[in-house]
Amino acid sequence: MKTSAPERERVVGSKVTRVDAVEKVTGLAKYAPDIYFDRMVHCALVIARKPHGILHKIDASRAQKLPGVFGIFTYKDVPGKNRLGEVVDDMPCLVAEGETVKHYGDVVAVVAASTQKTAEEAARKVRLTIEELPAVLDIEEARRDEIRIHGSSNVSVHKKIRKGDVSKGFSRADLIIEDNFMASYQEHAYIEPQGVVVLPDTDYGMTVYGSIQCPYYVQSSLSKVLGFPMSKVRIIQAETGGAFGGKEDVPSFVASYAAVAAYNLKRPARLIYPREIDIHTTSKRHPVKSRYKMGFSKDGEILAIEVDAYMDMGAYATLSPVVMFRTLVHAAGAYSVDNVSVDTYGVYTNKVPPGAFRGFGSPQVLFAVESMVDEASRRLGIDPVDMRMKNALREGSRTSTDQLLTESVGAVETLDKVNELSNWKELNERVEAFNRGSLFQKRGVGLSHIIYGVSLGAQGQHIDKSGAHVQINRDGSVDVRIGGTEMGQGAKTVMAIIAAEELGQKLSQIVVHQTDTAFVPDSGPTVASRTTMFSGNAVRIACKSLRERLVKLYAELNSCSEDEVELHDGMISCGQDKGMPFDELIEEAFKKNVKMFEAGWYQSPVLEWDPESGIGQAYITYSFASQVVVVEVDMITGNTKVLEAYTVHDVGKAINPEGVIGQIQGGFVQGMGYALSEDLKMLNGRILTDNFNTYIIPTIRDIPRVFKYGIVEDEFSEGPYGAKGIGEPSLMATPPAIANAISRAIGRRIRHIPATPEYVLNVIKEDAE
Amino acid sequence: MTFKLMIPNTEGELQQELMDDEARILAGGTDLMVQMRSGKVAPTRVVSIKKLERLKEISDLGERIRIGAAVTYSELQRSHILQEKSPILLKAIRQIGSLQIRNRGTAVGNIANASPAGDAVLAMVLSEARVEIMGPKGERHESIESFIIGPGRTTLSTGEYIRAVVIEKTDDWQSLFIKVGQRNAMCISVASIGVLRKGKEVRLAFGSVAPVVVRAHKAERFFTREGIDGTKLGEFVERCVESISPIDDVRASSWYRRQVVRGELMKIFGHPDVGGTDVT
Amino acid sequence: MNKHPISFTLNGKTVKTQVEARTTLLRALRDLGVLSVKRGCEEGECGTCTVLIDGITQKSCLVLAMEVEGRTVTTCEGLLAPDGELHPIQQAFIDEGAIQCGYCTPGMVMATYALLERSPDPADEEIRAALAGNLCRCTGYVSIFRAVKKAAELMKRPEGAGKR
Repeated sequence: MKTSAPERERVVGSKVTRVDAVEKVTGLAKYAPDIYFDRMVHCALVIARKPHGILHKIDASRAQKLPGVFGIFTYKDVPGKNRLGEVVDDMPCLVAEGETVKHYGDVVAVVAASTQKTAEEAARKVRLTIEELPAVLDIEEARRDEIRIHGSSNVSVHKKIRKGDVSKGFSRADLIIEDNFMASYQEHAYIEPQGVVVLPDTDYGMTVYGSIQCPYYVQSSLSKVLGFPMSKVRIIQAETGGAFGGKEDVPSFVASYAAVAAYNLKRPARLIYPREIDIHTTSKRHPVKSRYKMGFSKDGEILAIEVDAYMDMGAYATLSPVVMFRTLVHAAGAYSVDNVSVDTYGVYTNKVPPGAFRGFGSPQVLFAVESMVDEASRRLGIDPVDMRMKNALREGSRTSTDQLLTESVGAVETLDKVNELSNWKELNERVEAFNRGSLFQKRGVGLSHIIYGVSLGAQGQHIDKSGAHVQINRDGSVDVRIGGTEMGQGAKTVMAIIAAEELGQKLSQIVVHQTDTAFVPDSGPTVASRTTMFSGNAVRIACKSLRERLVKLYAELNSCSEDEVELHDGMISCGQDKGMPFDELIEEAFKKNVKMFEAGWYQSPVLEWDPESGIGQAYITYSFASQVVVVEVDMITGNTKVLEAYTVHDVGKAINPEGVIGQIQGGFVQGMGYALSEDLKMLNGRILTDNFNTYIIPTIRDIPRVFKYGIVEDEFSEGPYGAKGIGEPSLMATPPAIANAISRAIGRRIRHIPATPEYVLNVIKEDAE
Repeated sequence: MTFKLMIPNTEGELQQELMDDEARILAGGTDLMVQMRSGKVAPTRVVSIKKLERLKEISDLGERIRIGAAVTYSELQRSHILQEKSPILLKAIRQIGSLQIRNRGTAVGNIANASPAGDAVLAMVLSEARVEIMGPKGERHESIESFIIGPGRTTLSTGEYIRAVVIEKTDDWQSLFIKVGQRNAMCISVASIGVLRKGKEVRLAFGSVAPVVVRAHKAERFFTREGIDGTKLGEFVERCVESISPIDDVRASSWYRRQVVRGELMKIFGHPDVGGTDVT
Repeated sequence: MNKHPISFTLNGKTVKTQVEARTTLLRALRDLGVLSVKRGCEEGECGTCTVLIDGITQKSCLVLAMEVEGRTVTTCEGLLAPDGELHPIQQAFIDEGAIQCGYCTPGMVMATYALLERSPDPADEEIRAALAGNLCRCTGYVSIFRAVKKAAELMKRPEGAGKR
C-alpha cells in the first residue's frame, strides 16, 4: 500500500473529549425509555414465580377486563419458533401450557396496555395454575441427578485441558496444597434496566430500538420468533445505560417478548423492565464451585495444577458453554506451568440462567487460583511478588493450553510496575506496623496477577469478525458506522479517534452513529473486550482506502508526490505548500466522482485448537494485569474497607487513554462490589435481593481513598496501533487482590466471594467456638 | 381502585381526613412510597402534612426539645438546638439513607413506620422520647417505647396522628451510635447500638436485633449497681444480649447480629483505650 | 382514573398539567418530556431521578406529583444557559471524563449542583456525603469525585460565577 499509516500518530493516544459527552451531560441522550411512537402500547411480563412445576393453565380472563388492556399474549401467539437462546436454544420464549416452568423468572405471557401501570396491574391479575415439582437449587443437588431438569443428566457440558502429566508434577513437588472455593452470583446492576421498543416498520418488517449490546443476536433471535427473514428485522441500538455482559443475549429475549405484542397488535410496543423483573429474570455472573490442587517446588515454581470447576447454569444453558470456555482457559491462571489438568462442568438448576458478565467465567477461577498462589507464597515464605515473577509468562513461554506466546506479553512489566507504584516493601512494613498497634482493626496487603484472553478465542472464532462503513459527506463531515456498540465504555470515541487519525479530518467532524443492522453486516457480539480491536481495525481499514484516494487526488491537483502528502486536523498539504482544508478537497472529490465511502472488514486470525485435549491457540493474544490492594478488616463486624489500590494493566496500546483509565477505575469498583458486598440471596429459587435496597453495590463512599494506576503498552501487531483489550481485565484482577488482602489481614484464608462481613466474621470465628 | 391524595391546610382538616380507616399519612414518603410501590400497603387515601406549618417547628422546651411531625432530618441537622443539645440524634441521623432521603424523611415518620432498624428511633428511645398524639378524643402522650409495639405497629388508632415528638436534651451525656450495615453509605442497619453515659448511669439501645428497637433496662441497672470492672464486664454484656432476639433476614443472620452486638459491647466497655469511643 | 390539575415552576417556566393522584413526580416529569429524569430503581436508592424541589435535592420517584403544586422544580435541562451553553458543572463532568454510559449523569449533576449552591468549597468528605445517594456502575466514581472538585473551581472563577 502506498499510503501507510501516518509516521507518528497524533490523535491516537491524546486526551480527547468523549464524542457523546454533551448529549449525556445535558440529559438529551436517548435511551430506550426516551423513545416514543404514536399508538405505542406498554408491555409487562407475567412470570412463573415458581422454581419448578407443570404449567397447567394460563387464565387471563380477569386481566383482560381491566380498562386499557389491549391484549395478553401467550405461546399461542408466537408467530414463529417459540424458542430462545443464543448458543444453546433450550429456552422457551413463552412457556406453553402443559410444559414445565424451570425457574422463578420463566416468562409465560406478555401484557400490552395503554400505560405501563395498567400493564403491570394486568400482569398481576393473570392466574397461573402450576403443579409444583421438587426443585434443584444447588450444584451438589444437581450433580446427584435425582431430579432432572432437561431429561438427560443435569451435568450437561464438560470441557477439559490435559497438558503434561500432573501426577508427575505432584510427585516432584515439595508442597502440595488442596482447597475448595466458591464464587457466588453477581448481578450486573447497570443503572438503566433492560428495555426495547419494537415497531412494525416501512419495510413491512419489524424495527427494534433498544438497550442492546449485541444487535445481531437480537436480529437473529427475532427473525426466528417472528418467522421473518432477517432482512425484515432491523435493530437500531438506543443509547445504552450500561451493560457489562448483561445486555449480551438478554435483549434478544426482551425484544422477542415485545415483538410478540407488536406483531399481534400491529402497533409499536415498548417493554421496559422494572428493576425487580430485571433482577428476577435476567442473567448474572455464574456461581462457580471449584476444587484446586497445586504442587510447588520449595523455591516457588508451580509444578502442577489440577482443577475441577462446576458452574451453575441455572434452568437454561443459553451462553454457558462459551462462558465455560473462558473459565477453562483461565483456570490455571497467568503462569507458565508444564503440567495442567482442568475439568469444567456446567450443571442445570432451577434458578435464573446466568450468562455473560465482564470477565465471562474467568473471575471466579482467577480468584481461586490467585488464592492458591498466595497461600503457597505464605507457606513457602516467599514474597508474593517474587512468587508471581518466578512463574510469570514471558515471550517464548507457553500458556496452560500450551500456546506459544510470541509477542505482546506485558506480564512481567505489570508486576514490576505495580511493585514500584505501590512501594510494595514499604507498604507491607507500614501495614505490619499498623497491625502491631491495633486490636480491633487489622490491615492486609493483597496481590493478584491475571491473564486475559483477548476477544472470542478458539471456540468463538467463527463469529470473530467485524465490519465498518465509512462515508465522507460533501461538506467534509464523516459518517462512521460500526457493528460494535457503545454502552458507556467509549467505543464511539475510540472509533472517532481512529477515523480522525487515518483521514486527517478534525475529530469534531466525525460522527460515529448508533449501531444499526441495516448499515453494517453481522459483526459478531460487542463482548470479550474486542471492540477496539475488531471494529477499530475495520474502521481503520475503511479509512485507509479513503485516505489513499484523497492523497492521490491532492497529489494530482497540486502536482506533487503522493508520498509527501500529509493529512492532519482538517488540513491536507504536501511538502511546504500552504495546504487545503479537508472540506475543500472533498468538494473536489465530489466534482470528480471519486468514491467517498468504503467498507472495512476485519476477521480473527485462524486459531488451531483441539477441543479434546484443550491444547492449542486459545486466544489471539493476551492482556495482563497486576494489582495491589490494602484492606482494613473490622475484627468485630467482619466488615472490610478497601483503603488503597494500585493496579497496572498491559493494554497493548491506549488509543484513548482517558477511556482506558475510566475502564480501569470502573472495573475495579465493580470487582470490589463482587468481592465484598454484592450478595445475591435466594430462597427456594426466588431472588430476595431484587432491588438496590438489598442488592448492595458500592457508593462513592466505599471506594478507596488512594487509587493509583499504571498502563503498560506492549504492542500487539494485529491490534490497531498495537491495542489489545481492557474492558474485562479491569475487573478481573480485583476479587483475588481483595480476597488475598483479607486473608492476610485476618490470618485465615478467604474461600468464598463475596466476602461479606458475615462470611468474614464466620472465618474469623471458625475455630474459636 | 381509587386512590386519593389529600393535602389539608389545617390540623382540623387533617383530623377529618384521618377518620377514614384506610387513610395513611404521607410525611417524607421515604417508607410509604416504597411500600405502596411494592404492594406491601395499598392505602386508598393518603394525607400529606406538608402544608401544616405548625408541624414544621422545632422548639426548645427547656429540659426537652419538641420536634414537629413534618420536620425533616436535614432540618434537624441544621438546627442549632439539636446540634448543641442532642448529639446522639445527630449521630444517628448522619447515618440515615442518602442526602436526598434526609432532605425528605422525618424523625416522626421514622417513629410511625416503627421499623426495628429505625436509626432515629433508636436515638429517640435513648432520649426518653414522648410521642405527642392528637386524635378525635384530644391529645395524649405516650413514651416511644410503649408507643411502638411491633414491626410496623404502633398504638395509633383510627383518626389519630403523631403531632410531634418530645425528646430529652442529652448534651450532658457522653454518646455513641454504632451502625453496622452492608456498606459505608445508604444502608439499612444490620445491627445498631446506641449508648449514653453519665458517670455510673448508662442508657443502651439496640436496633435491628429484635421486633422493635429495644432498651436494655436490666443491663443499665446492672451497670449502675455493679459496675463493669473485672468479671462484671462479661456479666454486663450478657445482660445486654439477653435483651435482644434477632432473626435471620435478607441482610444478615441472627448469629451474626448477636456476634456483633456482643463484640461491639466488649469493645466499647472493655477497651476504652483502643476502642476509639467517647463513652467510657 | 381521575386527573387533577397541578401547576408548578419547571426550570424557570410555569407549567400546568393533569396528573393522577398516584403519579410520582418522576413519571409526571417524563410525561412532560423532561427526559433527563430517569428511572433506575423507583424506590429511592439509585438517585438517577434526582431533581431539585425549591432548591433541595429529592429523588423524584419518592415524591407525588401533586405535592409540587406551587413549588419550583429544577432538572438537568434547566442548568443550560439560554444560549445553550453548558453549566460549569456539566463542563467539569466532561473535562474530567466523569461520563460513561451517561444514565446516572443527570442525577449526579443535580446532586453536585445542590452541593455547590450550599457549599461552594466543599471538603472531600462533604462531596462523598452529597453524592452517596447516587449510584454509578461505570466510572467507579473516581472521575466523578474529581469533576465535583473541578466544578467548584470553575464556579469560583469570575467567568464561572456569572453563569447560573
